[in-house]
Amino acid sequence: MTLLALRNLVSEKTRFAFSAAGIGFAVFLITMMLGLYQGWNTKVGGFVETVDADAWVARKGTTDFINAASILPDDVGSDIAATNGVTSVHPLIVRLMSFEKDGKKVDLHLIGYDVASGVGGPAKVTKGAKEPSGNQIIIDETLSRTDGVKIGDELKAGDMTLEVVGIASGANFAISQGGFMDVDSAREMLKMPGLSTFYLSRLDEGADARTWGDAFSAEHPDLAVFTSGEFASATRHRILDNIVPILFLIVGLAFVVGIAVTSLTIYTATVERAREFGVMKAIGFDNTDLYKLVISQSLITGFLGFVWGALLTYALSQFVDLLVPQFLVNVRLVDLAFVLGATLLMAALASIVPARRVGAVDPAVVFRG
Amino acid sequence: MANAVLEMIDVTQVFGDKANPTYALRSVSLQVEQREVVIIMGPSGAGKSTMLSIAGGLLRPTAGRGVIDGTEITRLGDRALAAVRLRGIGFVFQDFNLLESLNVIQNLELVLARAGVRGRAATARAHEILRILGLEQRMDYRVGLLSGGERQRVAIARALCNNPTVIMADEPTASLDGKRGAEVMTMLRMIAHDMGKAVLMVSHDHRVLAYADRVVWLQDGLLENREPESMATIAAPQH
Repeated sequence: MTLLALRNLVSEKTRFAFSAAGIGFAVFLITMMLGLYQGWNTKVGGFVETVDADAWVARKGTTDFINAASILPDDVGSDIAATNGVTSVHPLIVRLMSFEKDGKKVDLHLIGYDVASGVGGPAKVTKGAKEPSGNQIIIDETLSRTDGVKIGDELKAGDMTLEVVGIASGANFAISQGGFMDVDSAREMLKMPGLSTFYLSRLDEGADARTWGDAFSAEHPDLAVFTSGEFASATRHRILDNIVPILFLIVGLAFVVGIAVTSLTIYTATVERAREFGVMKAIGFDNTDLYKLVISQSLITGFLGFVWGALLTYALSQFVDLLVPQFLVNVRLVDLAFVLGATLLMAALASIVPARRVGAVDPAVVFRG
Repeated sequence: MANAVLEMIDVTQVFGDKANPTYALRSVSLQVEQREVVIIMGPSGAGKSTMLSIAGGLLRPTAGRGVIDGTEITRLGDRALAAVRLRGIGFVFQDFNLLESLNVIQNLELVLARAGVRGRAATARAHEILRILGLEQRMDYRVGLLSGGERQRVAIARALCNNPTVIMADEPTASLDGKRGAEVMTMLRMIAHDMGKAVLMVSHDHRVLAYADRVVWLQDGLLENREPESMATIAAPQH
C-alpha cells in the first residue's frame, strides 16, 4: 500500500512537489519560530548566566537585567561585603544608551564593570584589548557587524566620547547589544559618582545563594536579591513573555496553512482518482485499506515537506543573524523531533476529509462506463 | 442446478422514490455453474450492469438474494462483502481499470497482498498467472505502455490471482478490436472450461456469442434464457 501511495504521488510530480514545498514552508516557519524562541532564550539570559557571580543585588522593584532601573549607593556594597559568607563584591552599572557614530545612531547597553576582577565583563573578547580603561569600550560583535563599528571608532553621546578598543562575543541580548567599560570611568562619565546599578556578590564555596539572599534582604527590605539563575530567568521572561504569544500565533497559523495545503492537494488527488478507488473497492479492498492509502500519501507528502523545510531552516539559520541581528536562531534536535511529530500530525489531520471522500466512493462506479 | 456457484434468487431492484419507482430488475433469478460461460445481453438500459453489480456484491438489491459459493452475500456487511469480492470474485472491466501508477506485476501483487499473500509467494503466484496468460515478457511494464489487448489480459490475470470461484466481466471486448476481443474471449472460455471457474459476462457484442455456453436476455427488468445460436441474428452491436 505504501508503494502504491508513493507511486500515486510520484505520478503527479509537479503537484507532489508543490504540496511538499507548501508543507516545507510551514515546517520552515514553525522550525524558525521555535529556533528563534530558543535562540532568544539562550542569548537573552545567557549573559547573566556567564557572569561569575552567585547573587545579584538591586533596588527593590528591579525586575531584570534589560530594564535595569536600579540605583544603589556605595554603602550597599559595603553592607554586602560585611555579611557572612561573602567572598567578594563587585559593582556593575547597566544603562541603555544611544550613541552617535559618524552621524549614525548606535544603541547599546553600556555596562560598567570591575575590570580588575572581570566580574560582569565580556564573556569572551575576540579582538583587540581585553581590559578597557578610561573612555575605552569593548563592544559586542553583533553590534560591530550590524552598525559597522570597528576598533578605533569613536562613539559619542553628549560630552561623552568612547573609543572602541575591543570586540567581544556573548553580549547580544537580542533587543540590544552590550558595550563594556571600566565601572569607575562609567560612573564619572555618567555623572553618578559612588552609584551602581547592581552589586554582584560571590559567596563562599558551598553557600546557598538563595539562603544568603533571603537573610540579606530581610535586613535590607529596600533591596532585592536574585540568584544568578533567578535573574537570568527573570530577564528571559521579560523579553520572551512579550514575544511568545506572537510566536505561538505564527506557529499556529503555519500549522493551519500546512494542513490546508496538504488537505487540498490530497483531496484533489483523491477526487481525481475516485474511479480508481472505486475499482479498488470493487476488487476487494475495504474502506480501511483506502484510508490507509490516503493517510500514507498524506504522511509521505508531510515527511518530504518536513525534510525540505528542515533543510531550508538549517541553511538559513547559518547566516540569518548576519542579516538581522535580532534573529537569533537555535534549532535543537529535540525541536526538530517535535516539528516532525507536528508535521505528521498535520498530514494525518489533512487526510481526514479526503479519507471521508474515499469512504463515500461507490464501488459500483466501475460499471458506469 | 447442482453445481451452481452463483445464484440470484428473485432479485428485484428499484431506483427512484416510492411515488416514481423505476424497476431495473423484476424478480430475476439466475444460476451459473462451474465451467460455464453465461452472457447477459439486452438493450441499453435493460439493467445488465445493475444485475452484474448485484451479482458481484457491489449493490444490495431491493429484494431477493444473491449467493456466491454457498454464501448469501446480500446479508453481509461491507467488510465481509469486500472479503468475498477479494477471494470469491474476479472482476474484468470494459476499461481494464488497472492501477496506472503500478507496473503489471505490482497490480497483481497488490491484490495478492490484500488477500494475505506477500513476498516470494505473491511473486511466484503472479508469475504463474502471467505466464498462463502469455504476459511473462510484460510483467515489469507500466500498464500505460501496454496495448489494449495486453491490458485486458493483465486485468484477467488480476481477476484470477486470488483463485476466485466466479469471474464477472463487463463488456470485456468493447474496447478491443476483433482479433484482441477474440483472444480475450478465448481466454475467458479457457478460464471457465479448463480452470473450472464460472464466468458471468455482460456484452453488447454479438461476436462473443460463439464463446457462450448460455445466453440470457434481459429486457425491461425481466430475464429469459436464449440459445446462443438464436441470439446471433438479433443481438447486433449497439455501441
